[in-house]
Amino acid sequence: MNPILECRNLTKCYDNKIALNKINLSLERGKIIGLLGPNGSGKTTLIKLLNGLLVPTEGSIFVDGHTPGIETKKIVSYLPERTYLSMHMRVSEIINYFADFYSDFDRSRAYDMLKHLNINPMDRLRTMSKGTKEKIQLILVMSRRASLYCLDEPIAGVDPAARDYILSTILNNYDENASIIISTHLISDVENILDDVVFIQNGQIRLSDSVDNIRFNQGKSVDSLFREVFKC
Amino acid sequence: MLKKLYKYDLKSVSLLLVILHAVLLVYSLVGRIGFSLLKGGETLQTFEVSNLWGIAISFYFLGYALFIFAIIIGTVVYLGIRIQKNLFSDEGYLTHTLPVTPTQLLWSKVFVIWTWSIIDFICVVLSVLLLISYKETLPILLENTSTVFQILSGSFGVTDQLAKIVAVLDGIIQHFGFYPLLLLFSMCLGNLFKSHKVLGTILSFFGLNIILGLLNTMITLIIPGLSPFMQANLTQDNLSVYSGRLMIFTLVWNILFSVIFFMGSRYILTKKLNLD
Repeated sequence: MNPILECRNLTKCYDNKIALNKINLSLERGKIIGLLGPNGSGKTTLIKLLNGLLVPTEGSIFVDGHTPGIETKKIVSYLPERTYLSMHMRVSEIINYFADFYSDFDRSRAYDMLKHLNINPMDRLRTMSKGTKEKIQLILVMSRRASLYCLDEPIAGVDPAARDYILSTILNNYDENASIIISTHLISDVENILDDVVFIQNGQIRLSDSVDNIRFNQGKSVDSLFREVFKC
Repeated sequence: MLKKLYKYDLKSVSLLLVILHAVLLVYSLVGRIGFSLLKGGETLQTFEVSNLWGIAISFYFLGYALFIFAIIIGTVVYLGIRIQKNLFSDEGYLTHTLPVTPTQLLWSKVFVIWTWSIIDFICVVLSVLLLISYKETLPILLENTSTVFQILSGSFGVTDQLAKIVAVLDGIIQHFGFYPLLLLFSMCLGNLFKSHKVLGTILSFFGLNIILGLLNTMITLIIPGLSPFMQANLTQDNLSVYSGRLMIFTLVWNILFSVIFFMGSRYILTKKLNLD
């Protein structure tokens, strides 16, 4: 079986700046992987590349054995770090939109989560706070039965109570065979749900290991190791 | 998937455009009712501009002409802005992660432009007819329309049916192929700019338009069969042949560049997409 994500000498340059430098990476299925690194380390670039929003300068990237395209978009559920929904739409219209395009979208799961958060499906997005919009995007993304969930900074910019809800939503709404990549620099908040971590700095992989190995072999929490590795 | 894309794309642009076109029709209807009520059924032809009603009507028609102009330009500009936003702004993060091909994305946008071009045309024609078609004016209207068509075809030296068909086809290709695809291609080129992508789109659109216009003129001046300066003794017969040749060249030119714009846009969306 193909790894869910594979990068071979993956390089991405913006003008003269190298965002990713010959990355080689292979991620197994059925795990929650933390893509961890300081701001500007290349996390978002890697996620955009795997979603086909950017094109590699060199090397290649494979999702379930395919280069990013129509086949990978069917199995990847992506939460970007910005609001990508049309502000004039009602929540119910957005749910219909997702259900129309993604065959793995579970409408009842979306409505359950909305009900739990007391969000009226008839409300328009433009009338909502930034935090509520972020929750709606997460609900949409986690209502798919995807093979790979790509969550770019899912807890940045929301209050601690909302963070707990978001993390529990992630944990409660993915199948065991699916994989989740969570990109963040808020390590302590996500550490407890991660199976593996990938440390990325200046466009290069600094470390790729399981959380258990880090704890038992190095006797440190991921957060402590992160602070050590990325010490300014 | 294309059908779904088209449905949502059309829905996303239609609310404002429906309102604008409805206002145009209501404005025309108000004008018609006003003219019917004024002066006890006096026709437009007998109104005198010197009196108060005449001044009011002049202002009405000035506003009407501006409205028509604004709605035609506004529809294209609004569609351009919405498509640009859908493909290359934050919304693009959703658009480009849908399980659809770049070709389907492009066709969906093209169909939306076609749909609104047709609706726009129908609304403008309806609006004009609403204002000027009365029992007394209808025969004159029909006669004038027929004359316009005759003058149009005659002024190009077109005498045979085939050339007329080519002329009509040329207009259709230019309106529904060349310009919508030039707009889309300009947006894709604008996306390649490091910053100021909207400015890049505008520059690409006008730049390409000017360059292709110049190129077209140069070719028609250089190639013996197309150059007007190289046509010796233009009589009515060979003028028709020459005009026909020129129209076929324009038709091929427009089809060729419509295809190039579509392929170029698809290439950029597939191989060069860079959403910041």
